[in-house]
Amino acid sequence: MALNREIAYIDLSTAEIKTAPIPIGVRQLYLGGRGLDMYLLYNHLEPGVDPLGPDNVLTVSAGLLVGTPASASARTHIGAKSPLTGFVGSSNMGGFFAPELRFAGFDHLVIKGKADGPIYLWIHDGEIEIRDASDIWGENIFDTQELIKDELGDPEVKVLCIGIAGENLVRFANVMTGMKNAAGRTGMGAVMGSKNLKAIAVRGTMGLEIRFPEESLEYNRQLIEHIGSTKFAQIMQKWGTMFIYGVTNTTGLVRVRNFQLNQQVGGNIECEHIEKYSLGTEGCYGCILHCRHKYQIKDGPYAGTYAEGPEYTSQGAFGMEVDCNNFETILVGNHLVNMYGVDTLEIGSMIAWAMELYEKGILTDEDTGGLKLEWGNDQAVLEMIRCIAERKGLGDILAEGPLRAAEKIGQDSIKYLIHVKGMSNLHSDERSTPSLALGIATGSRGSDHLRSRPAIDLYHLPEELLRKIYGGPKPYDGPLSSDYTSYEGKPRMVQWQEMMYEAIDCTGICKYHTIFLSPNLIRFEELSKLIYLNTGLEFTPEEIWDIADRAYTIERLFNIREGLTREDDWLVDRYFDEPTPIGLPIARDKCIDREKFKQMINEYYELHGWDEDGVPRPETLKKLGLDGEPSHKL
Amino acid sequence: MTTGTSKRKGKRIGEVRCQNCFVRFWPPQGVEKVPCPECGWEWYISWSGKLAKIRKPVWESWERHLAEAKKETED
Repeated sequence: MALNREIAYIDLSTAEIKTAPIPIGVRQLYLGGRGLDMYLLYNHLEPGVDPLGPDNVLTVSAGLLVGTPASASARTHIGAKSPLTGFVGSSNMGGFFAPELRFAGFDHLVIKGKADGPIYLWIHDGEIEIRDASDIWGENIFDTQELIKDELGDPEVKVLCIGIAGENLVRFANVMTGMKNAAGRTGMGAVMGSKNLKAIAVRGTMGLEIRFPEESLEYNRQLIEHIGSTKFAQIMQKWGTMFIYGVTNTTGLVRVRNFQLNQQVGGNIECEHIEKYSLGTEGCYGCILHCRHKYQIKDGPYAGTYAEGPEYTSQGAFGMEVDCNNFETILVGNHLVNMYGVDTLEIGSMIAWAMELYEKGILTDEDTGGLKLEWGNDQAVLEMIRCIAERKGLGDILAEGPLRAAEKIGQDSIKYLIHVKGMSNLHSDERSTPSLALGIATGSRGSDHLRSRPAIDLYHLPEELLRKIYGGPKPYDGPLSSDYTSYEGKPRMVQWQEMMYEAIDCTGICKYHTIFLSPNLIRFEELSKLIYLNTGLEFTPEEIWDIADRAYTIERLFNIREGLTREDDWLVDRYFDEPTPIGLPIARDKCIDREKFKQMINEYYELHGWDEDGVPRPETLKKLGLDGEPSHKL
Repeated sequence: MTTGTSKRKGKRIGEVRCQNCFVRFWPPQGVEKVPCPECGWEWYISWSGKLAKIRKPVWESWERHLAEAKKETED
């Protein structure tokens, strides 16, 4: 049945492999995926370990509903202590790996130690082998997957792997599967590289027994029909996440020239340009959205290159932030980061920061090896991607991530960093949107647009509709505001989205099926039904909220154990001191008010049951059953 | 679904929302650019069948609209 998959504990130092069932009681507390991974990390990691040392623990998992008829149940979650932030490392990706992992008999892998030399794991129908990867080490993301499939003699094998950036311990290297599915944030690829773990290959033929198969299929059919009928879905199917640029750049909600402007006036990199290059769209396992384009680059040194994407983040990384106004630069940049296996968001932010330092004379031609790091210099941007992934010249410093790089460069370079907890912000400018600002300031893994962002706040939805969404499943009768520039009621919106995203990450369903970019999609009520029909586990919407709260709180406990304080839940000074210079009237001349922001954080902590320092109160831990953690039960 | 929008399936496919004043309106099918009937800001529209979407501002008239908005605020 869908609940009988196991955990595998793999020690790469000793080559010892153990497997164990997942007790139903643990499922009822954490479901699976991100939630159970966080429980495992909190229990298996010793505080203070070097994230790039053998004592770090890497988890790889499939969510509870992965591989079932539930739509878009495709997500793989990767966890570890982050080499970028020193706090929780957590990232997930789509594709086909996670369903295959379940079909091969496993839901969670807990990987410890460090192999003597390059290896990969081969997992098939309940068996796990450690295999030599010496011949594959040094290969890029695309070739690694093909070489492993060839070696195993099965084109249906699914592979997740690191590229050259992960091998080089770039602190924001990602883990990838397929052409573009990336667990991009918090440097999980560097953790794999530090363990000499090049890849994990899976193939399975073990069926998943669905508790109520006919009812599950029928309910999923209804969900798909509903989701497909929304305008959001139809736009995603046509243009992917790049459609967001049309709203955010027009309004003045993006970072341009690092953080000096909030709009690319005359911007000409909107999603419609993809039509010239697109070869059609592709989807993940069981998903109707098909939100990524397959495309071919037409001109220049990369002419003929096939790639997939790009996402909105790459528009920002190689468009707005570096003030390039050339769509092909985005296509090539997207291809390069996927080939090297490095987080597009972080690398774009690091390059934009370096460009501002160059503009201000903190970095010189001597530092850049003669490379003109000037705004809009497309070739310099593409060259810096290579330098960072290969750790060449200035790239070797930038590969260390924001805070370490600022320390090495010195002067007042840190003043120009746009980060939270040592992780760079999305290319968004939150000075006009207090709710989005609160979300990035308090995110458990650093500046984060995927774990708490109430993106629908930008839609000026009627308060009545906001009340329907944010008023439950746990009762809330406090303020809610349709005005996204307001500070009223925003902590609840952030908390609600945290719980929603945590719950959906525990199931392995894609966030684009939930209330993220559309108010009309899956909420706790639908999750409750999906879980019941597929697994037989009965939870009310309120109980699913509690599970999410428990998992989110354990992330908080992890961070506090690693030294997090209230001061880490904060924005850099530029958010408070530099008003937005351009954009539509609603987004112009805006900055975050320090006092109001402090009050928002107080309110946010209170909603979570945390004290004024952001530490969960004893009664909160007791209510969530976390007062005995770490319990070392698994 | 829970917000009740399933009852209005497909009704907003040809509709766009002005990014300046948030008024919803229906641009004529296939039109390349259109002013908002409420505030007058101009937008390029992209089409996929009947699906309409604001593509980007008409940048050429951007400064004029900003100046008008500023004057209205001052008045």
